[in-house]
Amino acid sequence: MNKFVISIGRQPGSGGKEIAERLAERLNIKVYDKTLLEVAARESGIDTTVFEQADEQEVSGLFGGWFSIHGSMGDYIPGNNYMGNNKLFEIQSEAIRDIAENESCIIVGRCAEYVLRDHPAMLSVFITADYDDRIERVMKQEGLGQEKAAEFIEKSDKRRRSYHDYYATTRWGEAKCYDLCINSSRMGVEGSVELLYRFIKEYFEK
Amino acid sequence: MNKTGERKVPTELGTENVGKLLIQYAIPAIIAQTAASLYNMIDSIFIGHIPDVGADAISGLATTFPFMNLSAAFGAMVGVGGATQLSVRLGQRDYDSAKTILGNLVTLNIIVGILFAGVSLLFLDEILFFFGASDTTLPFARDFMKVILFGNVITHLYFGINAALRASGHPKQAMYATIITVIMNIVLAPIFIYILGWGIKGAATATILAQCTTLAWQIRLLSNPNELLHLQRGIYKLRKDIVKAILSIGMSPFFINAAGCIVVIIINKGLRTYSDNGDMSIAAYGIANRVQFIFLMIVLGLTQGMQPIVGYNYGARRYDRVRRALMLTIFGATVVTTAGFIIAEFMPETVARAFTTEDNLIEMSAWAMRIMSLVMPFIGMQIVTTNFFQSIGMVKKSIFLSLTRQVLMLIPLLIILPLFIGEKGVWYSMPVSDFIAALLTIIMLFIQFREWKRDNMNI
Repeated sequence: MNKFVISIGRQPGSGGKEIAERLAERLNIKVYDKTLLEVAARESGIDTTVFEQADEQEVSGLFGGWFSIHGSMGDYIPGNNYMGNNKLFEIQSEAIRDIAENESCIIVGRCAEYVLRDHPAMLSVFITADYDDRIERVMKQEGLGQEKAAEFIEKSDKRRRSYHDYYATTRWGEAKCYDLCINSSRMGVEGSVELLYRFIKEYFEK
Repeated sequence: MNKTGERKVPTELGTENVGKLLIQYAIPAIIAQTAASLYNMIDSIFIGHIPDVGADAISGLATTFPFMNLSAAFGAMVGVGGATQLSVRLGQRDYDSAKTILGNLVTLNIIVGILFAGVSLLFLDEILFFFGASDTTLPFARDFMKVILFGNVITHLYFGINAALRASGHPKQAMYATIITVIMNIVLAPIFIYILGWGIKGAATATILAQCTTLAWQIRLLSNPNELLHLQRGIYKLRKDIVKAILSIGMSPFFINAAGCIVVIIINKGLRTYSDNGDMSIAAYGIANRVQFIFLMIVLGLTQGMQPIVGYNYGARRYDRVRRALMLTIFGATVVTTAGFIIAEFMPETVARAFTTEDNLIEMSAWAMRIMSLVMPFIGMQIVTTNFFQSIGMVKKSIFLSLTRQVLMLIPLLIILPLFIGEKGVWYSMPVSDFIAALLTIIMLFIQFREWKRDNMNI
């Protein structure tokens, strides 16, 4: 197979990350998520902590420091903050494109399906799961009670959606924006990996 | 858009001498801010010198300031929202989306501009009374505002397209546009006001005509088909998702401007209620506010120069450089606001004379300036620190500090203090709120430094 890239978006608690990791194992390629940020960081000579801070955080208060003085009218000059989230996203996207150009890989999150929209061999996948399964998974992974898990899911959903829809022109989790959407509750993690594996093989070998 | 060019910026931010960087980054911002403050002052100065009119016209003009704020709030909602989206798309080299955003920005500017002007013209007198006009000053305010509102679409387009120019890699052209508009306004205003004898209407006409001319130039710049992003057919039709994105980003600049509008209304109302001569007091506030404005805008320009330096070095963990940039900026800002303080305390009459020829008003404005500027030397530090928190990603602290000075402290004080000491209460609210905000800022900065020390971050 020639070089290809799979972008995987996922709901929190859908098992998407696990699916991505196992799929990468099967395909014998790398999966980039957090490590992706570090590559981007190293490349631009910026410490990774900044990236962790901006890790799919809700985009809010962009113009918090924008300062108005009574009775004034003037140019809209926002503080041009080079470390602002917009700039971070730009650096990160650049890193994603660099990686995708050099090797076959899986990229989890980070609007990769939008960032790589011009990539000649990209398949985009979105993974969901039934609500109860998501709760259960989050309870186990995060060590939370049921109520806390529900809260966690609600918050992360909101955060990921606002991050994604701010930076991308596609809509987070909307079927028409992806090549394939899978509910992992139907076939389980193993089954979903198998399905994706066959899908990828067939598509790229053709 | 230039890949290598953009990459080059961060490295120099981490290595070059901090003082040198600060000067290099701050000067264009200071020029832009000074131009903006001139833009807001020109009308005041020229109108103040119309023979036989004087104080009433100035007072009338002062009641239009919150109106301008409100218009700017709607303009900024579309302009900032659109420009931000535009720069994200251009960063992704997504030119198709960028084009549509540009088109939608123009269409939205036109719609919002017309709606705002239409509603405002319909209820013009009511709104002006609400903003602090009296029977004596209303005619002046109305004359001025009518022209401004008829040109409102042009104003919104001019600012909106300028923001788009800045976002699309033409910051220099955007700066030229600002400067050209200011200069044209300065040249045209006296011709219309004095030579053609149009009075206060002439001032407004000069403003709109200057914007109109610049707008034509901006449109020509953006119509160049050789540019990847240019005005073309088929991009103007509003798209729901784009409008939603623009407005959701535009909300915060909208509220910031709207808050500015509300504060001026409360000040004007307070002066009208408690002063023996409300018109005179409102006029004096208008003048004193304009004077303070110049100094604060210079400080603002300085902080805009600081932001990338602090942001980058904080990210790169070069805390020594972060500290140095912060301290240098606070020092510079304090010099500027202290200069403002000295002028306001020791020679306010001289400054007031630039805005009016009427002795009573000169005296009143000088008195107002002295009070309003009482704690001005500390404001420089306050503004710098507010923006410092924003540059290092502590947006909530930044918003809190910014609101403290201008809203959270000021509005309650404006309502409570006059109950006890009358008109003086309105005036003293401003330095008292500044003082409390400055104190709070020092405390928050101190706590932050201690936290960093505890975490072994030597900022």
